[in-house]
Amino acid sequence: MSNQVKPEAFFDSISISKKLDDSLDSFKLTEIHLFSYFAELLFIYKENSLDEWNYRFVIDKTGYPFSQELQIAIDRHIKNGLLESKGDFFVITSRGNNEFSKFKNLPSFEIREEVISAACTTSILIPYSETQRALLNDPEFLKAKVIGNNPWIEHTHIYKKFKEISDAVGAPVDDVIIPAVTWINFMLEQNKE
Amino acid sequence: MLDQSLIDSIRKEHYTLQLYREYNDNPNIISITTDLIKEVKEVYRYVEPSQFQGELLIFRNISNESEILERLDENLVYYKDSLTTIINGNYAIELCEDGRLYLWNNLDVSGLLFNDDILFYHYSADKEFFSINNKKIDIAHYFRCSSIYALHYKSLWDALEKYKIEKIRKSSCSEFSKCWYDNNRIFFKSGPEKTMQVSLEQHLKSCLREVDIVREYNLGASKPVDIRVSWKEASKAVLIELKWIGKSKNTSGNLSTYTDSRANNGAVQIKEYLDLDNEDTPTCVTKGVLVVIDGRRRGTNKNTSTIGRKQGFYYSEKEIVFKEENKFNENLLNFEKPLRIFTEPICI
Repeated sequence: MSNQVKPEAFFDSISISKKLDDSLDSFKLTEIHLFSYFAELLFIYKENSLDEWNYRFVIDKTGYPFSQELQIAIDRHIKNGLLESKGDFFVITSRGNNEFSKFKNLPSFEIREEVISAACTTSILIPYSETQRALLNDPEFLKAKVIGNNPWIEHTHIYKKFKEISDAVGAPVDDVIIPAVTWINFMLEQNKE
Repeated sequence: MLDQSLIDSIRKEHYTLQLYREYNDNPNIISITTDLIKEVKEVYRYVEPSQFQGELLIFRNISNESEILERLDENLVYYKDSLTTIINGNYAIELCEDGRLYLWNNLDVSGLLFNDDILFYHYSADKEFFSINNKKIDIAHYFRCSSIYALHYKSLWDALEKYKIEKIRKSSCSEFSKCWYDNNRIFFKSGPEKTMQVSLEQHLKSCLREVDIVREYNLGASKPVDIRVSWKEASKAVLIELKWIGKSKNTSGNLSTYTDSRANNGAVQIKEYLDLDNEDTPTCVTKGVLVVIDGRRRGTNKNTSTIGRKQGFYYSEKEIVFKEENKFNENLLNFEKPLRIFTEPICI
């Protein structure tokens, strides 16, 4: 695999870092992958093609979604001083904030920014630990874990299911935040059963 | 086909959706709610709801047509540190569009909720809800907590629970495993305290965001506090006293036994620390917790080298007995219930 940084992975990782830093004060690198994975689900929910996301996820040995392309971008951000290590956690630097500001309004990233914002806003509206628990216990995610995750986490039924749940609870059509919270609540309710 | 009861449960716990509905399906309410919650979280960096006694209202006037409370200069919050004085009573805080905060106290908080076009967040006695256009919308609690927007202490209690289950119960922590004198984990080494402290310190550093963790924190008491955890972005801290009970064996093979009385001493120490800390850092909300590593085994003497399950696990469910006068957690809001962590032996 090439070590060339994909623009989408570059943008997504710095955008998620900015938002997690704002809402959680600091973050682990695995959490950038987790929220990018969630944003990808919302991207599909918004009727975009999975191919347009332009990178995919496997499940790593810690049980988190992992994208090699995203990791290459994260490594580059760390090397360039956009992200800084604080013990076991990371924060975004002022340089990282400036870099994000340069790219956030580019039309080519508009939809990505919308779904990333929605994914990360869930950690403001509901406790982060619940979002994490919901996503990591998504039956489709767990199925991928069991079958050895070859080659990517599939989202075969995700669009249909997501749409069905959102419609059933009465989520607004044009918004992504309410469907994002709906999806998390749906996963949590399922786990209760 | 979706189960209707599942859909109903999701709707019930989905306060954002309910706010959207109550605000005439206007999507602007979503960003207004998010901004208000950010401010609630900001206020809770200085105010600890689990120790607050009274009513707290935080609101945002959406239409801005008229002030429901007069915004005088004396109500303007210049320094958020001043919010640490919110301990008991009835308070209202307004978040203005330009980010300014106004604070009022001694008023009929519930009476304000009848105003239209204002998004209210209301907290009282471990219950919280939003209110808009005279409609109350409960905020679901996913776990036991005072507010889902103030989870600093919860994150620490969760980290201690994780330490108990994943690190200590089976001595999975490599640092902690150095505390044992023998491979069957019957006796501790003599003086294992420092190693235990390092083990807990390492664990907390890996779990908690944006905290300072200091071992042997000096408060001017007869002994330093074992571990002090403080949040960099919040006026909150926890003093942890770490004790162990069971038997230790020194290099000459002699045993020392520590029992419930040692845990009782730990509780008294924490009470002393909390009193001193109140004077030392008055703007910081500090809680205290006693953590007791329980390595008690039944019927052992200095010649014991193996142990059966019955004797080895005899104390696994036996709680420590605290004297009535040392049950501080029953009366003090800043004194947490002691946490006993039983650490298992390897049995024959």
